[in-house]
Amino acid sequence: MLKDKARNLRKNQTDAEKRIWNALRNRQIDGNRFHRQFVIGQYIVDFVCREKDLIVEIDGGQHSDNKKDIERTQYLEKEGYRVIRFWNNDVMNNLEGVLQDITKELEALTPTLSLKGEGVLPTPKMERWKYTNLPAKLKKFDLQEGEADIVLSGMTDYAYAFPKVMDSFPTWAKEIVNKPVPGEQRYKDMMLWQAANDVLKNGFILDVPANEKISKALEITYTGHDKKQTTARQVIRIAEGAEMTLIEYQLGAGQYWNNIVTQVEVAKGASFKHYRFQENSDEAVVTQNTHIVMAERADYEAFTFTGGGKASRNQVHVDMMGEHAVCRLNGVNMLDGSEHGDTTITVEHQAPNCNSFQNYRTVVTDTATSVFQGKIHVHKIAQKTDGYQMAKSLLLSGQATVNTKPELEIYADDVKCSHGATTGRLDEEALFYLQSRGIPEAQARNLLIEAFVNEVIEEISHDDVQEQTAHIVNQWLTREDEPANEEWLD
Amino acid sequence: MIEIKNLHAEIDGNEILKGLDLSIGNGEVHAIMGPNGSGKSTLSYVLSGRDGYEVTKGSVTLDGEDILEMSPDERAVAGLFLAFQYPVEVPGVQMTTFLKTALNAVRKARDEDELDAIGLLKLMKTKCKELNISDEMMKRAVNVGFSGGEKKRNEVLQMAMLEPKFAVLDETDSGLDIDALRIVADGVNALRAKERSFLVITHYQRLLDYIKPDKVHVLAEGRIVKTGGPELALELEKKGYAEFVGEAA
Ligand SMILES: Nc1ncnc2c1ncn2[C@@H]1O[C@H](COP(=O)(O)OP(=O)(O)O)[C@@H](O)[C@H]1O
Ligand SMILES: [Mg+2]
Repeated sequence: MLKDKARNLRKNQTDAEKRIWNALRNRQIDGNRFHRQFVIGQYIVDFVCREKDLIVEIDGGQHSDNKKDIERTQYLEKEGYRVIRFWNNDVMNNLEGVLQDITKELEALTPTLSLKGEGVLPTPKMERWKYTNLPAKLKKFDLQEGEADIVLSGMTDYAYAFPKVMDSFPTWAKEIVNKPVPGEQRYKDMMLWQAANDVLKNGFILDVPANEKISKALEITYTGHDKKQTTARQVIRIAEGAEMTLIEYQLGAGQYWNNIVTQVEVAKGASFKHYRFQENSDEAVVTQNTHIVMAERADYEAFTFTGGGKASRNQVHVDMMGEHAVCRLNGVNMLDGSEHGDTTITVEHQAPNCNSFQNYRTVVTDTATSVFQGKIHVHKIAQKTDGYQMAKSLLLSGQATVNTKPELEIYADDVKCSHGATTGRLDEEALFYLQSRGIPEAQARNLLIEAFVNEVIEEISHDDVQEQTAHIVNQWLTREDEPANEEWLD
Repeated sequence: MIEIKNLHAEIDGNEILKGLDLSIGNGEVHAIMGPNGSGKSTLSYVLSGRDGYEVTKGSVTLDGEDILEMSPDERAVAGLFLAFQYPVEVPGVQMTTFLKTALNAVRKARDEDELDAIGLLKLMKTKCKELNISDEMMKRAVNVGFSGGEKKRNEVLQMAMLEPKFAVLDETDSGLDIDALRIVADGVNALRAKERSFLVITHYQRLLDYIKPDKVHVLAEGRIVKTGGPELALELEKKGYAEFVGEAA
């Protein structure tokens, strides 16, 4: 019905509509495609550019300002559209000016995160991007801006989808979002974060009230879709004395790029367990920035499993602001094919008596590449800091690459900090020992690889997640495209 | 029945075994003695198929089956077992997981039913008791933090569970005190059976007081240079190996 009506309207355009359509059609304005008399919900809008969510309405003068029109505009804006209106007269007498306005609006709606733009992406010239050439990874991508496909499940009581406009953010979330970008002054490489700020329309908010101790986890599933580039933001507040668990799953098919910014505040005495399973398509690029701010006696436990992705960057920045806070940043990376996995961590000890632990295990095979950059920065005030960092890597092929860069920067004099990094191959003697007991080589190799990653999986305090991780590791090990027993031992 | 004929083997191009002949009938226990570096461990590794040990000549058959073409795990399935002179630590792999995986891999390959967790636990408990191995040891990673004696008892435990046709014990007695030695020997003796043969490699005659061999061989410079009864071991204990080293060189 509505469609028929729209068709009719298209046939019987007013002069003004004809005039502007002649200027909009065929992607004449910077390649932006417009539709005319287009159905959205129960409305028919005059012109719409769907890639930019911009609606252009031409008013004859007789039907503006009435209640119905306001409702209509409200509905469309709630749907995420920007609505601009022109009078018939403007179009007839000052088309130039109208088109200029439309061009400006379109520009404003064009995401800054354009793959074509120069200086938009961090490059290997930047200190923290030395080992990950993001522009190269994205080079052949042909992507369109899209909405992130996010599904919340499990304990969703305190979680809700992102408001489309900043105005509807709760004050606390607005404050978090508007905070200075972590690491920006020092490294000047936070363009992905800033890009996420510009787009700010996808994601979720999690707000756990004080002393609420929740054992059931909130689960978030991100699904990547072919040819889509999405940006999402997660704003999380765990109030004083509260306890919460979040499990994120990332999966998808085809070529996509997800850029995710997560901000977490763990208040005094609060505890937050944060688990991530990244099993993205091996054509996909995923960039993540996670910023955690911890108050006194706050407890943050993170475990990230990365088992896919053409390129993934997990950048984590922790600010330990209150005394006796404890953070544990652990992870397992299992990379095959030509996958590239990058973990870049900065822990800022800015208060005395805090403990931070980083413990990562990485398994690389085929021509995969892994990057681990971990930094512990102990500020002058942060006496009695206990900082620990261990990154161990296992090379299963001669063509795989491991880049490890541990870093300690210590300004306090009474601290305990240690770090270690090892890169090795499977222990041939152990392999032979297992085989001599009748265990076939492939199975023996898997036992040893499992043992290697288990050192970190054992530290997951959430039993179900621990079990799940073991299962995912096993799936990875018994995957079908596993290369036949490779000769690459010590 | 294990038959080794004219076995030549090298490591990195250096010939270590230089024409070794040995055959052990079903139910028999043979001992090999010899000076350090004579090739005893090399023989045990060649038999079990370790990488880097290249057989250049000769043959080894177990009940008529050529084992040299088999991978180490296939040899285990065929019934070969090596108790290592230096048992290997496998960090992160728990004893129970290890035993279960090994036992079921072997059973599966032999077309036998796999054991469930309970069946395995029962079997393990019985064998552990016989060998004086604590439950606590079973919760640890394979050989990690085990004392020398515990490692050796652990080898015998694995042997008891896998029930091989032919077992090679490479200096299982070294580093054991008299009590541990007795436990290990009892473990081995309990497994002695009509259809099972043993090759006991040792440096000292002492072990042979507990595990009575049918034959004693002297290995020197990659070859069996003398064969006799248990009395040969006593003789070697007295005289040492000097005469053999000279002779073979
Ligand atoms: N991995 C190796 N690489 C090179 N030579 C070796 C290796 N292992 C053993 N050998 C040499 O082989 C000879 C026999 O060693 P081995 O079999 O261990 O003797 P045994 O067990 O009788 O003491 C020795 O000369 C030893 O140096
Ligand atoms: Mg030896």
